[in-house]
Amino acid sequence: MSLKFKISIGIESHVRIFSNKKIFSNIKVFNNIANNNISCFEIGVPGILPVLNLFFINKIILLGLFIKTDIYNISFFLRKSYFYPDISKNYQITQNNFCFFKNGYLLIYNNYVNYSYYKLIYIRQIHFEEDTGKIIYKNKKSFLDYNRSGSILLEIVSFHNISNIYESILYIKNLQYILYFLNFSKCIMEEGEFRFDINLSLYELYSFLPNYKIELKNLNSFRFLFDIINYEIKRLIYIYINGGLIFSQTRGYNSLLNSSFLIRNKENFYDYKYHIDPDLFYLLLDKKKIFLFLIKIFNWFYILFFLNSRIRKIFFYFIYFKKIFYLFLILGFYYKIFFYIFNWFFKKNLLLFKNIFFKIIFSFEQILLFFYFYFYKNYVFLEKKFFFFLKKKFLTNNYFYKLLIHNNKNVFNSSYIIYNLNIFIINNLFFLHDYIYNKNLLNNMILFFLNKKIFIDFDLLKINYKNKVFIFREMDEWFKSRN
Amino acid sequence: MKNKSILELHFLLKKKKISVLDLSKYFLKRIENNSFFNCFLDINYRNIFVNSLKSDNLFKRNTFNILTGIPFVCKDNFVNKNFFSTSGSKILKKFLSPYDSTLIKKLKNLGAIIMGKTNMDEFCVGNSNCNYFYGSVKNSLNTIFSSGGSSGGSSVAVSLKLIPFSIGSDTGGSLRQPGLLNNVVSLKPTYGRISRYGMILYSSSLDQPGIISTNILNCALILNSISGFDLKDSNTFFFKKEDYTRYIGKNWIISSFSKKFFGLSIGISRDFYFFDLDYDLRSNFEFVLSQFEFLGASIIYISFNFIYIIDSLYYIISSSELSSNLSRFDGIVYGYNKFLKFYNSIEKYRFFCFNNYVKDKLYIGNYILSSKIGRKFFLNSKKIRKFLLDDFQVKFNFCDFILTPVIPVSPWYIFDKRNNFFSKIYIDIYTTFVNFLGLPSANIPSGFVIKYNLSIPLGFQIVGNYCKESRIIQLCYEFQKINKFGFNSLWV
Repeated sequence: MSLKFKISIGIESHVRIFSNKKIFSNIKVFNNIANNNISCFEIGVPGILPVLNLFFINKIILLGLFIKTDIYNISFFLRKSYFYPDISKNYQITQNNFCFFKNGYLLIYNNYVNYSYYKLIYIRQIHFEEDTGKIIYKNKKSFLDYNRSGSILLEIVSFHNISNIYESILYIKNLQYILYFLNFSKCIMEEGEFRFDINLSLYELYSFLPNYKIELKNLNSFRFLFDIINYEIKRLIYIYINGGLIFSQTRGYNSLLNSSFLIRNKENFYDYKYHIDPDLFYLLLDKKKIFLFLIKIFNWFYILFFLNSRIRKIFFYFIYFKKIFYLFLILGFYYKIFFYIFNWFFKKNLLLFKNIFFKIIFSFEQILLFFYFYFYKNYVFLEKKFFFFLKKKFLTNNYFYKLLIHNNKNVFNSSYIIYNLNIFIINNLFFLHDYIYNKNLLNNMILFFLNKKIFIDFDLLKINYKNKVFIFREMDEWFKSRN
Repeated sequence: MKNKSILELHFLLKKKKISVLDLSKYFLKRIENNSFFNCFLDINYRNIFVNSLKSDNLFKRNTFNILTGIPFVCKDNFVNKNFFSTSGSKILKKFLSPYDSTLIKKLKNLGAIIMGKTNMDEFCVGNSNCNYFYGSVKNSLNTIFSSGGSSGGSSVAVSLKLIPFSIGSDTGGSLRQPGLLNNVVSLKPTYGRISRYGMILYSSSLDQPGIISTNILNCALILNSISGFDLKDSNTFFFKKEDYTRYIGKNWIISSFSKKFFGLSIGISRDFYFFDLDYDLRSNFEFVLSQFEFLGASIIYISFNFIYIIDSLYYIISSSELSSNLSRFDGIVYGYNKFLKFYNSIEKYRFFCFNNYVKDKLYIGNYILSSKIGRKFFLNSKKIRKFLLDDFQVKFNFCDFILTPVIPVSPWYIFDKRNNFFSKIYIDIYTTFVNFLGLPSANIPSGFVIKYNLSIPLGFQIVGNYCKESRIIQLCYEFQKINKFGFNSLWV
């Protein structure tokens, strides 16, 4: 008789957003000498009150739209209290569980040789909080540096849907790419801009989830992740077979011995005493604001990718003159005027343009899809030689498989990351399907569009996934070269 | 000089009968002579001298305001650069803050002069001003009694006529109750009128700064200058700026020619007599009602929900917020720490430095927030608070104001054993629900009773709807005009 095990992993990733401001105080941040950039709030001078920088909320909504979460209109802040010299106030202000964004998903593609598959990884929530200070140990003394504290920290919590090491790596890679793409942060792990915790639990196949879970905290690199999970699985199976007790605990990683060590036993050892922060107000989102955001994003995308190289230059030229750029945004709002201007640009395919344009929903992704098709042809037309070259060389099936087999040893390198816009397109099928048939999500902004009663052409959504990659090839190469 | 109001002092300064420096010298001398009462913690002579010369220059340039050159006094939990701001605690002994609070900064910019900081209970916790570290404050009228309230020092300073007005803070009647015991007027505006930036926090959803003076007109003039939107406090209102003295001397319905308060309706509930009130308080309260009826007001009977529970709900919320607000005083940054090991040191330090009253609240507050059983209390008290907010709005459709007594008992001795008992359970019953809902209110003195050869002051409390301070000031003005029980001869 053979035992078969299964693991389920949930990842909680922390991202420090790249910005010059702090959340609850107006001081600017530069990396200088220790304790140089501090306002009264970070030291915890008595009598001072937190004031939220609304600048960050505009930025965070972008990420929520990209990961396609449910947007909750109300949120507020909590105090998480514990005694530690990291925070001089002895409580941390977080948005825990009462955040804007919940229930999103992110798509990954794993290519085993014989069995390659797509998978949706469910994301529970995205929330932000205050960062803590730094403790430096020197000569048996501890020094405090509050320079970092007060800067914004973003947490992305996934469901325990991940069932593999490779999937977890792919998930983090995809997430990193999105964060870089939106100018949130460079995600350099060595400097602590991106770090993640892992919750792991092992159980028999076809059985329910166990009660315990094992936390692995503050991981900084992929190699550590690869090693520690392998070690933990072996350790757990060893205990399982020999009849030991497995209890929930948190563990750290020792890189020299390549093994993990116990930090503390129980999960709820500290009572964090969450309660509402009465100094700060409740946050409410407007639907109008989100709608305006969508238009902005759309225009931004449009300039970056879908226009020709010639036109792109012109629009970038516009950006420097801001007034004209705002005019462009307004054109996005009044789409009919937008439509007439496009006639002027492209007279050839006008019929196609008309027929589709009035039928499609004006959701953000639908518009993206449409323009993606529409300008793709022109893009090929202009740079025909380049594309033909690529098709002959890379896109034949034989070569595609060969490439995979060649890199079979390290799946990490061969694993084929699906980049941003491809995710959009593929996910769109699931996405629309959910929003049409789920009546509980009335608050969502997509239903705001659906109320106009415009139906969809599903034929548009049939896509060759393979062809879409090469538009972003430049971006791919850049991304791979970093690692 | 000592009996004059702000406007009278202002006219003297305007006509240059006194310079500002002489005026501040006069009040300083009075403060020094009355050091027996122990109401001051810190006086900065150099600061007074410099500021009074500055505001003298303002008079020469004809760029003065109503408040230029007029001295005032502040409670010790308001932070200032030039003074030690301890908030009556051992931990913040000799603490100089790096910034000014907005409330003091606004008064400073107008030219008013801070004379010093007054005594208070440790972190505003407690009903009698018995500070074990800085000494207790004596009552101004009868030195055997306690001065009451957390902001006792600033109310004693006004009632002894050491100063024309002073500033205190209110969480659960800690500004109105000493106002009653020392026979002065005190006004607590709605939550969010005045910015709390620079006030050392007790419980941030209940706390609100207020004004103490002998006359309601002084309070209105100062409230004009202090109140307003502040960027640094996110709970302040963003309203249009209004004049709080605009209704003074007018009828309730402005177009009518009948009695002054014709059309006004005052709400009273039977629930306030549930506790065994003193006979003197009760008879005085009925006398006050007859005064309002004489002016033309009609009286309505109302019943309240949860009026008996509110005091304990207040106790839950305030103690739980106090435990998180005071967690920053752990001896690492504030106060020096003898104990070198980290984990033991916080426990020891906090054990030795806090008062017993504070420690009781910290234990309860931590229990309520942490345990699963205790958390029910916290959440349910929040729910009832939301319910009461809606419920009181219905009540204020029928009546314009609610009149209550301030405390149900007569004043108590300083070293009495009752002190412990009353401070927790019994004495806050009428004052806490105002802070619980964030309503505006004021305390008005309304007579004396002679008992055991001691003259004991009496008073009542007015509670209005949100943002109706100007109407409260109108009522108080008319009442004080007829009955000069407070320090009279202050009328302009």
